Amino acid sequence: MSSSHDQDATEQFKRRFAENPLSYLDFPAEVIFSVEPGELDVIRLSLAGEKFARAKDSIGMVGRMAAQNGITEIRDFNDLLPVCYNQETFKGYPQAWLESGDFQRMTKWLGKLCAADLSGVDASSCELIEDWIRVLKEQSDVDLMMSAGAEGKASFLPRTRQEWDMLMQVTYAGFNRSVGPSGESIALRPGVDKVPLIYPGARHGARSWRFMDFYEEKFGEGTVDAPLGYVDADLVSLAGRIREASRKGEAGSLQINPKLLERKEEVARSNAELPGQFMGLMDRMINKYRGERIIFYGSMKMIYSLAQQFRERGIKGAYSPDSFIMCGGGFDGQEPPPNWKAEVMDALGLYEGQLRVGYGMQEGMWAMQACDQDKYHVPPTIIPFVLDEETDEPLPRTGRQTGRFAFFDLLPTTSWGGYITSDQVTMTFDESCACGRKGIYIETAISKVVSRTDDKIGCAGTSSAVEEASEYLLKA
Amino acid sequence: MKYQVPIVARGEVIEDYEVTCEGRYGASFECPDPNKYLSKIVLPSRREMEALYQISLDDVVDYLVEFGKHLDVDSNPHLQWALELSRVFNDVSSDLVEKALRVNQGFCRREMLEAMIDTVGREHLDGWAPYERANGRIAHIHAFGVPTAHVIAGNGPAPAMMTFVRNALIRGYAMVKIPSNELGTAVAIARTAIDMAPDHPLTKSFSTVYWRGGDEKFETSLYHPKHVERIVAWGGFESIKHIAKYVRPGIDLMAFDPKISRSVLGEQTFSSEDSMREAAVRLADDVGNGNQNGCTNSRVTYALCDMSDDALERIKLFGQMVFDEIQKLPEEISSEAIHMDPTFVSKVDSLSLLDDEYHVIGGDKRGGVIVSLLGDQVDFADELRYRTINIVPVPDFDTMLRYFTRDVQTVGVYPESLRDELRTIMALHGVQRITSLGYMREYNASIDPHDGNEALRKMCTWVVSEDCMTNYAPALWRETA
Repeated sequence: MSSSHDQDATEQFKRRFAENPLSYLDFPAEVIFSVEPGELDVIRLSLAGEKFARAKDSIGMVGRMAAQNGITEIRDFNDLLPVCYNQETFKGYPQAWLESGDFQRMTKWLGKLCAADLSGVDASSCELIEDWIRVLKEQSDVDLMMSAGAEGKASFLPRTRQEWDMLMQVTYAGFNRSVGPSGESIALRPGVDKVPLIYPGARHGARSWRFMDFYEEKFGEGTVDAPLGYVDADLVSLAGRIREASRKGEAGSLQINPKLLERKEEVARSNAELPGQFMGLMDRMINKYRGERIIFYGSMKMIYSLAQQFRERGIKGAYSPDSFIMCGGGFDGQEPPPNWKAEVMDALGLYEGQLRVGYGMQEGMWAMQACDQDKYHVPPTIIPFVLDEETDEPLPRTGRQTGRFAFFDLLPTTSWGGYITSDQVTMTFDESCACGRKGIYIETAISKVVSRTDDKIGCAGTSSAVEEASEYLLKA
Repeated sequence: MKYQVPIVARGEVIEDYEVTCEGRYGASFECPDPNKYLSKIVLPSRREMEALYQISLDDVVDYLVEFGKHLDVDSNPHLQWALELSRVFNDVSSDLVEKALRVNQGFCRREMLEAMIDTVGREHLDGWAPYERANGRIAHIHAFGVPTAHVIAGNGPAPAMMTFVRNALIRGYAMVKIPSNELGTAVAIARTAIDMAPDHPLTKSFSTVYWRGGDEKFETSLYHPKHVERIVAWGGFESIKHIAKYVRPGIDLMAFDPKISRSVLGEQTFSSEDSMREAAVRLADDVGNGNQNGCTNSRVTYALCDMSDDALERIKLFGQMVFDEIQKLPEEISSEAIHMDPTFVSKVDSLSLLDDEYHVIGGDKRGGVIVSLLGDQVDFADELRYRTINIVPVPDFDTMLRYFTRDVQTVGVYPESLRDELRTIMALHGVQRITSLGYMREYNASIDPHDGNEALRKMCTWVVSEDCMTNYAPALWRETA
């Protein structure tokens, strides 16, 4: 039962949230998830409407989509869907511009995706992606995020510094409000605690996780251990291009810039170094950090494999119990091993609740952590949708629905919050979770949307090379 | 509404609907468990094929001509059923499917059948054709059909019909894998044959079955040399990749790779309003026919020009003409998109925002024209759909030819003189068909080479029976004796 005190907190949260969604971080989860879903929807609809009204004039892409679909205002959550971005939006530039180093045009393209003012950016001297990222940082608010998925073409996400700052706060709050077994705070104390943040990725470069910079600023140089992968954005892009060209066969290899291809040895070297780097990190986690307090962000698979190695050595309670272990990504689409959590907890020796399973993506400024019922509670800052996987039509916002996940993120200020993902989720709309939270939640079993067209055959298309991934061009 | 797709196995319709399959756009359908009926689908013995060779090729042709008369959509309940299924499961509008079903009758015209026979040689299909060799040996050559699995494309009803006719002419035994995006036509054909001549050996030599592509249990059993001697596979990388797993000594793979088609407009196109209009009308058909689902649809057009501002302005104007002409295409030829993939829309939207570099007309359900003002083909050129054409101005042939590979099936050219000038060099780059602009859908792959293949000849197993005695052909034992 809610006490009147709780009711006051809830009212205060609603009021402040309506003014500034980021203020949700000032409230404990019990308050945030005590709001009746219907009341929250009213506030969110109004916030989304304001965001759209600004964006349709200030973001070229949103204006275009709004005009195409006849959306003039947001009267209903579903009005947001035709103006949502998707995975193609962040790589809609012509590849030829990247190949020829035409970063003036790349800047112009990027400027259409966000409200940040890029008109004063002079990228004419840029030859490589790294140069471009630096120039954008120097001459505008944009601190570009880049990634290159399996399909090859690099994506560029125009987040501003201010947005990164907000995201840092969200991430930081994600673990730093924890309490120990007797209710005492185990939050990290800046200037006092020097806890290594371990991340199996690259420390620097355009795709690196910005939270590592934030963390080192707060807790001191040398507190981050992130030794894996490409640090150079151009190599990331080249590796992606090689994958794409390999897949496309002759048509693909015709398009690759010979100058960039000269660096293929570096890609091969980096690929070759990866297993060694990974083994080195595992070794440090087994030996160097033993008995210490750590923060780990990585995959479930990796943490489970670490726990098994401890088990084989007969080690229990490998780390300080107030360590933070944040993991996601599942087990490569396989069923999780039974009792994996208990095994990890046992080997690592953590306080209850310190092993956290999370869900997030770089296109959104949110992160979800599974509750004790293994559900992800959708934070108030996003409006979630479940779409039919074939048609992308919204499924009813009632009951339990499975389909493609989309969201409208209320936090971004210059970039656009609407995004249709490629994840398949199961979402419950109108039933409270047994953990006590109200509002919408998502099952932790999340997978990629699989095309049902896998045995659909047409005669149009191009044949693809049979070689796997980077092999073909790297050997050429 | 419940959709049910039977197995038709050697003249028998099996309606034991045990399995529910996910179709497209959320609809599902039921079919029998293919594993349960494998023994009915495959030939119990090669002796079953003997009946096919107790009739003559003329009997085959007569059967097909008669069969054509039963393919009237207005009176054939099976075709009506196929059309009904297409409304739910196909990618293209049912108007288009209906039109294509009506065109199917054309495959059974006598002159068409004779022309198909001519590609192999009547003498090879009707019996043992004798050839006297230099040393006196007489080689008798006969082209035979064999037990063949056909994994057909589903972007329209034509592949099912082509397969039926081809299989009958070579007198093979066809097991057709029904595509999930064209569930009805193959079954309708098989059932029409049963209605017409239930005991005819040709009726019993066309079986159709749905299984989910990649169903290892079924495929491992079916694709065994004792059941299947050849696999004729249409389709893309994924489709061929999993079929390739089963290819081994004893199984021959004949693949019709997916293809794309392009157009070339000579500089003369833009010299007058009339020639622009003429080219626009023709190009619109090449882009829009069958809703750009096929390999014989243009996706990119190269426009030769001096790249001057004037030339680009004329090309923009031409682009508008093409867009307008696409809108005028009749419903049964072409229609607006039904479901548009949002990621595709995003790609076009991105370019439409770059108005100094791309001139985008439409880009929605009506279709679109993307003029690449800098002369670079769009990155997703091979995936253009929903009646979307990329017009790429190019200053010379070399700029254009670097885009031509063996993936390009047809190139439609305007004007005529340019076509003959370019055909040899385009062929050397891998192009398999060069035609007049506007005639892409006139492709008759039953008679003319199909994607660089002589398909009907290749679907046959060629057997030679030798007579070495009539002329006492020399032999080692004869000389040493």
